[in-house]
Formats: sequence, structure tokens, C-alpha cells
Amino acid sequence: MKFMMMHKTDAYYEAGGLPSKELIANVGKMVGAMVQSGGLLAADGLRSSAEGVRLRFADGKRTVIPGPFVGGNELVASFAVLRVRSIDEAVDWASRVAAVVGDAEVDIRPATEPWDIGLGKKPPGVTTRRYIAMRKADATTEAGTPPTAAQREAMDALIGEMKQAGVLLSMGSLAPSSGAARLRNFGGKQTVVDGPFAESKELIGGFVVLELGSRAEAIEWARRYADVLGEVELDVRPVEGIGVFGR
Amino acid sequence: MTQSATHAAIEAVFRIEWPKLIAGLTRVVRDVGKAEELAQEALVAALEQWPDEGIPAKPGAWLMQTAKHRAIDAVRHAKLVRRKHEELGREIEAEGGDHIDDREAIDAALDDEIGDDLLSLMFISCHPVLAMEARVALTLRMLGGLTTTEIARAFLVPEATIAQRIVRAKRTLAEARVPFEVPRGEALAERLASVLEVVYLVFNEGYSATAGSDWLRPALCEDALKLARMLAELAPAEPEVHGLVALLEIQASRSAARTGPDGEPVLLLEQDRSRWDRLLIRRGLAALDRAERLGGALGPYALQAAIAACHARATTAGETDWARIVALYDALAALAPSPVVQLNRAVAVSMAFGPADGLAIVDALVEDGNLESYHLLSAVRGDLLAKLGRLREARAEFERAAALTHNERERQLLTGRAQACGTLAAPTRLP
Repeated sequence: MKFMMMHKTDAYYEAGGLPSKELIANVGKMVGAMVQSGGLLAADGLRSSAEGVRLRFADGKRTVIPGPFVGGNELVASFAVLRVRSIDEAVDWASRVAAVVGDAEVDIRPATEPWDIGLGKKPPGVTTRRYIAMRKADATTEAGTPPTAAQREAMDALIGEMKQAGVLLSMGSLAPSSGAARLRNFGGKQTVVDGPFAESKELIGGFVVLELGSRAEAIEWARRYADVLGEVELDVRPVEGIGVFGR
Repeated sequence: MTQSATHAAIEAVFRIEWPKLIAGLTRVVRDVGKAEELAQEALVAALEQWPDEGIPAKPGAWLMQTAKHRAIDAVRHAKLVRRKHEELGREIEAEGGDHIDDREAIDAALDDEIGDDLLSLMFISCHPVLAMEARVALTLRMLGGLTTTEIARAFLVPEATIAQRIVRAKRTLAEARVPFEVPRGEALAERLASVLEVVYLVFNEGYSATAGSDWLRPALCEDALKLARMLAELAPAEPEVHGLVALLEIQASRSAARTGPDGEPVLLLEQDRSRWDRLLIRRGLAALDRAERLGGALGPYALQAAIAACHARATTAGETDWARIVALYDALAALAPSPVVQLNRAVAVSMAFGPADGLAIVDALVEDGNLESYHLLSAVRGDLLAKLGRLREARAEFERAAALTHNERERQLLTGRAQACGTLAAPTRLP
């Protein structure tokens, strides 16, 4: 079973604050433990929403809202990691996906690279950047409605095109939030609430994907991750499907 | 938290902590059997206390602490017994100091990096002094964290058999005074080979169930993958470790495509490649890349992974680079000669250069007689004969293969192929 753990961000990081050296070291240790357990599949952080855009697709019309955002409907239904030259290019690809899936809200935010947080230097000659596109949950995704045959076919063709263009690094879809758990770590106390979640107002700060034996194991890792991160809200979401195509 | 949620949480903590607990404790008490007892006692304590008191903030540390205290008690008790025996009761004064030494030594031992301990635990669990099936059971119990019940279910044997295997294995290790350490120098290669063999065997037991009605027992594959990935993290400088990881990841990527809707096996070239798990393929190719980058000639696992990678890279069966696969089998046959490798090489040769060339290799194997009762020899020979239009002979080979396999699903598949030959070429009766 695969699970995605998404931690929420806060005002400090939204304002462009850097993680402390201690936090970077502790998160590194945590991720190391996840690797050693044999379960870590992916991990990424997101830049503040000021560097992102929000796309709204309704009745065939697209609205582009530049960041920063206030958290609204932040429950994620699916995601893709893209490697493109600019955020505009990411917007174009996301718009083509929306043309297949229909009305949707999609946030696009740059992924955090080591050099963004003061670790090492950006390698010379890098002209692209990784962006994470997140489609928000709505009544259709929360009901677990499968795509129509026509949508599936169009999506497969589009994915093929994105892979060929070397744009698509990975993509995945999450199960409806009825199978999720939310862990809150505040005031030195951890509480776990089971889904479904009618709302999710906190912006996503980053995620890890783990392959584990049970949901309880995922919650246990979430507890440990929250210990490292400090005051944080963390969603544990079962992953329905995930594909990795490049780095 | 409800009672059942607490139990699920305790079980989850144990899944995560078990190998580290056993490894850390074995280093202290120098006896994997004793370590298991202590870890088990910590579990019992957790089951007693956590439902009432709540799960502690750092459950891993709690368990280690609890087990540690029991370890200290055990060491003290052993000392006390020894003292009584030696009638050294007069040194009561020094005893206080001793206790502190014990505690500090044990604290220091348990707070150290646990990585080497896990690796040492792998090496002793797979020690050549143990029979292969004992290595497998002990590794799954100590490192995989499986219960004896789970191991017994996975291998379709009575639980008492597994329990006994583990008890005997622990006794053998104690009697042989096998040191708890990572072997060095020349011993390392041989001991590492044994570890890799155990992990591969666990995977294969899950991947191609040798008995019973299931073609796949996925839990064992997952356990083996987990062990292999763990090993790669603990011994990152060993190319064959990455080779094994690559092989397992790529083979596992085909799991969903290996069975049809009714659970019947689907052979590699007929599989729906869109059902291959791209994530696992990606991980497998990355691991193979790591093995290759560490330098030197590829070992047997890395070579097999490179062959699997040829299949993984081909979008359709028709695009498979068979010439490269033949070259890789040549290298594998030179490095680790075996009739099974020859049989696989024969299949690759038939695909690259035609069924007649493949059949020549298979016929040589038949003459050697080493694979006489191996159902796949007959299955492959049947397939090549069918391709050459020699259907009556093909039918006989498929029937022979069906009679030889112990796997029910595979038998059905082979019988079906035999029948297909029969309907195509109804034997003409001599007047």
C-alpha cells in the first residue's frame, strides 16, 4: 500500500523563511530512516505560494490567479511533477490536462531544490525547473468517480506526449479523503482525525510517498515526521496510482 | 483511540521498530534468541500499558528503554547467579559500581548508530552454519518482523515447523559462537553472497510459488524487496546488492501483469505492458545504474537485472533487444554456469536467431540429463517444437511439463497448450 504524507505550511515559510540548519539535518535523518525502512518512494518540498499560480477551469474558461494565495480548498486529488523551462509552460500543460478532465482547480508551485534552501550550488547549465501541479479535490474526485473511456484515452495520449517531451517526471492520484487521516501536532499534543475531510484550508508545504504494510504504519510515520517538523498539520492519504518517468 | 485502533498502532510501531530493537539488543546481549525475548517482553509491556496510558510520544524510544531495562535486569541476574555460584558474595561494595558500569555500557551500546547492527543481524541470520530454510525463517522473523504464523502461512507449512526451525537456528548460532559483526576482508564476499541468496529465495518463493494454487504470493515479494532495499542502504558500496535490488524491483514491476483475470499465469512476452509498474521499473533501472557505476564486471544478480532491464525498456515485446539479452546470458553462463541459465539462454537465442538455434541448445540440455524433472525444460522444448511446426512432439513435451509442475495454475496453462497442439494436428492413424 502506498501513502502520501502532505505537511502543511505556515506564515514563516510562506513569507520566504528558510528552514534552520537543525531542521534540515533532522528532516534528512528522518528521510534516511524512511529509506532504510525500504519504503520511501518520493519526497519533495514546495516553494511558497507567492512563487506559484492557481488555475481555475470552469465551463471551458480559464482564470489564472498569481500567488500568494490564502488557503481555500487545499485537499489534493492528484498531482504531477513537471520539468519545464518556465511556470508558463507548466500552466500550458495543466490547461491541456484540464481540457480532458473538465472543471477543476489546479495549483502549480515550484519544487524546492537543495540550492533554494542554501544546500550546495545550482548546477551550471540548468535551464529548467521542477514544478508540482496539484489538482484539488471536488465532489467528483471525492466520490471516486472513475474517468470515462474517452477521458482515459485522451489522458493516455497526453501523458505519452508529455513523456516524449521529457516534461513529465511523475504523476499520481490519491484515494478520496474518506480513507485519509489528519494528524495535528500542536501544543506538544498529537491528535489524529479520520477522513473524510469536508475542507482543508492549510496550504501544502511538501510531501513524501511511502510504501507500507498498513494505514496504521503510515500514521506512525506521520507522528514521527510531525515530531521533527514541530507545530504542523499533516494529512496521510492513500495513493491510488503513481507513476515515475524521470528524475 | 479505540481499543482496535490502539492495537493497530502498536502493531505498526512494532513493524517499524522490530529489526532495530532486535539488532540493538543482540549487540548488547550477544544472543539473538535472548534479544528476541527482550523485544517480545517490551511488546507485552506496550500491549498492557499503552491502551490505558496512551501511546507514548516517542514509542520507539519507549520500547528500546523498556527492553534496555530488562536487558540490564537480565545481565544483573546472570551476574548474580554467577556470583552465587562462585560464592563471591563478599564483594557487595563493588557491586554498586558494577551496576552503573552495566547501565552505562548498555546505554552507550544502544544509543550508537544502529546501521551496523542491522547489517550484523542480516549476516548472522544468513550465516552459512545454518541450513538454508533456517536462514530464511530467521531472516524473516528478525529483520522482516514477520510472526511465526505469518512465515508458516507464506511457506504453507505448519506453524510448529517454523517455530522449531527458528528455535534450532538460534541454538545453532549460540553453540557455534557466531560473532555479532559485519565480516571483513575475504569472508565478506562469501557471507554477502549468502545474504543475497536468502533475500532472492524469499522473493522467488513469493514470485513463483512452487506449490499450491497461487501463482504469486505478493507479501513475500514485498518482504524481500524491503530487505533488499534495506541492505542497499546499509551496504551501499556493494555492486551486487544494488544488482539484486534492481532485479527484484524490475521483476516485481510485472506482478500485476503476470496473472490473467481468472488467476492464470500470463507469460512475459504476452503480458499487457501497460500494467507494468513504472515506478518499480524506474527504481530498478536506477539501482542497476548504481551497480554499474560502482565499477568492475557485473555480478550474477546485476547481469540478471540487466536482462530484466532489456525487457522493461521495450515498449512492446517485438521491440525487445534479444541480441543484447543473448550477450548478457553468455556473460552469465560464463560467470555462473548452470543448466537453468542455459535454458533461458536457449529461449533468448531462439528469439534472436530463430527456434532451430534455440532447440539445438535445449536438445543438448536434454542429453545432459541434469534438468530431467524440470518442467520448464519440457515447456520450452514444447514451445520451440510448436514454432517449428513439429506439433505432435510439442504436444508430448507440454504434457510431460504439465505432469512435472507442482503449481496448479501452471499445469492448467501447459495442458491447454498441449491440447492446442492436438487440435491443430490431429494424429493421423496408420492403416
